[in-house]
Amino acid sequence: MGRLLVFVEHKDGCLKKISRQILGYFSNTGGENDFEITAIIVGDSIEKKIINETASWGADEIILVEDKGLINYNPLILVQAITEIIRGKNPQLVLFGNTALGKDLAPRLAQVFSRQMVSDVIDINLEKEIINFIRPIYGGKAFEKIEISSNNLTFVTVRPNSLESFVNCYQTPKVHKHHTQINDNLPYLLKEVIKKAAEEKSLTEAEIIVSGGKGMQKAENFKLLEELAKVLGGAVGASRSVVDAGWMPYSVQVGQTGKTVKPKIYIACGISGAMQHLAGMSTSQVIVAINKDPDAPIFKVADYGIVGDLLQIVPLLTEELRNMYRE
Amino acid sequence: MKIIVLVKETFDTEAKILLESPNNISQKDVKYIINPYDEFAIEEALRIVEKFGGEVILCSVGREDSQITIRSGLALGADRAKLIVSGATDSITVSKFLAQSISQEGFDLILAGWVAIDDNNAQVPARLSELLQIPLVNVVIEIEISEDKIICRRDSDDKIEIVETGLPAIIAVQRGINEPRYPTVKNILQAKKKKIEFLYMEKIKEKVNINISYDVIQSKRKGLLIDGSSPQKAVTILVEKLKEAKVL
Repeated sequence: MGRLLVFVEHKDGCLKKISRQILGYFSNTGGENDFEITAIIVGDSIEKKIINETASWGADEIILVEDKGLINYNPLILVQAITEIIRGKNPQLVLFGNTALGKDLAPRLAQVFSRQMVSDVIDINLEKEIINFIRPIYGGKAFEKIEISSNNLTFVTVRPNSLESFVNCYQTPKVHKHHTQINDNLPYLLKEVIKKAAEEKSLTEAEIIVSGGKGMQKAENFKLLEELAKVLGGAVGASRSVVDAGWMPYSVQVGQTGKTVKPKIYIACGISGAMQHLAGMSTSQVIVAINKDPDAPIFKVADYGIVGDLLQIVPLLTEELRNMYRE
Repeated sequence: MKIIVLVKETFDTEAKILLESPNNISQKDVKYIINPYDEFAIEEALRIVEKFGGEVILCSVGREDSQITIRSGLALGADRAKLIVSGATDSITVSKFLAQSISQEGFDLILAGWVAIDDNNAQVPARLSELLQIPLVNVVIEIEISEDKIICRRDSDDKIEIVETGLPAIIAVQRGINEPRYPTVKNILQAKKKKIEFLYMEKIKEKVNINISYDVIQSKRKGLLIDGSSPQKAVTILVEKLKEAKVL
């Protein structure tokens, strides 16, 4: 009997999408493989509906780490708590989302146990003796396939929107509490948390991204992309040249030195398609390109391309979609 | 202040990735650069030393030839470098080598890029913090150092976290923290005389059974081009196609 440990992230009383994706993926493949899923939920006071939601995505067991000191993120406290849980549970895989939290915690824990970590995976396949992972490298220009024998403890972060999400399958899990002794005198102190403006919200979880390049001609024209993104319930991204020009903040840069994204639809407007940009978005499910240059390399990776003037096309597209949703 | 900056040599961002075999990425005709995130770390180290005085030492694990790339870091103004020559590329071994050589050297502060653009692992700073038992502040976009503490602004998805820590510490930096300088002619000339210390370390045989292979992207896209000379018509076709693809 194997065991998977899944760190569940939640926000405003709901599970983050990546946590639902990880739980849903493994609870549905679980039929063919013999393993149990233990979910860890951390917080200052964990609402019942978060526990219920975790159960509904197929956790066999839920461990709550609840303490006033956990209202804000402190990696030292969480490393200690999760280390204690791992020692008690002996899992084969410890899974996080490839989020700010997962990227920070997973490698620390991997070193506590001197074990391998597989970062930013986009596919996982559990077999009896081995586990297969696929992860993008060189910013998405290539993929690394890793096989690790399944009897070793391995740490993993999973890229959002990568694992095929299934319908939830409710379990009636055992719920335990884990208490960890919090040292008041830690050399890492969180002083303040500042919320970012809505438009800077994480691109990596967005299902639809409307992205602009130098072909947008000026910063003001990004308003057109914001309107389109709003109708689609998506987020706005940008190419490196746009960020370098100061039109958009770095937090929305897509590419090898920016964010790597994998939305359902990626709409590239006025983006020529430099190698380093393609690296950041080429695993998107559907790619749409709008560009006036028919020879732009972006068309080579696009499913649908419109050759034309984006300042005319984008507002029309926004209007067309708005009418469609109204109906 | 004695600052160690971890630097990694990577392929240039415009490099095309080709495979020699399923287990080998071709290095033929590749242009090398310092990992762009590590350049931000070098710049930040130089600024701290300009303010407080001290020394900036680059530390890298790479090939013998990585010295050419490392020297471009010295040309930015770092004082000297340590190059650990090893075939090891996995994060566990690389971190172990770095920890050994850094603790022998001694330091007040370690700076590094939070991720390397080639392997996308983002593990070495965290592993080093555990090995050296010093705090890590990760994905940092602003550092403010005073006598007895360091205040960092850290990028955490939809939030900014302000974290206080002390020295010694390791800080992994994110783009946005600064605008790296260009090397001056004087610094390029001086860099030729700066010392690079070579350390040769054997790769330890792996205990874990792990097999790695590679694949390059092949576009399997539909590649349907719509004429936009009639914008309204083009938009209607596009929306139809997106509905057919069941993404709308």
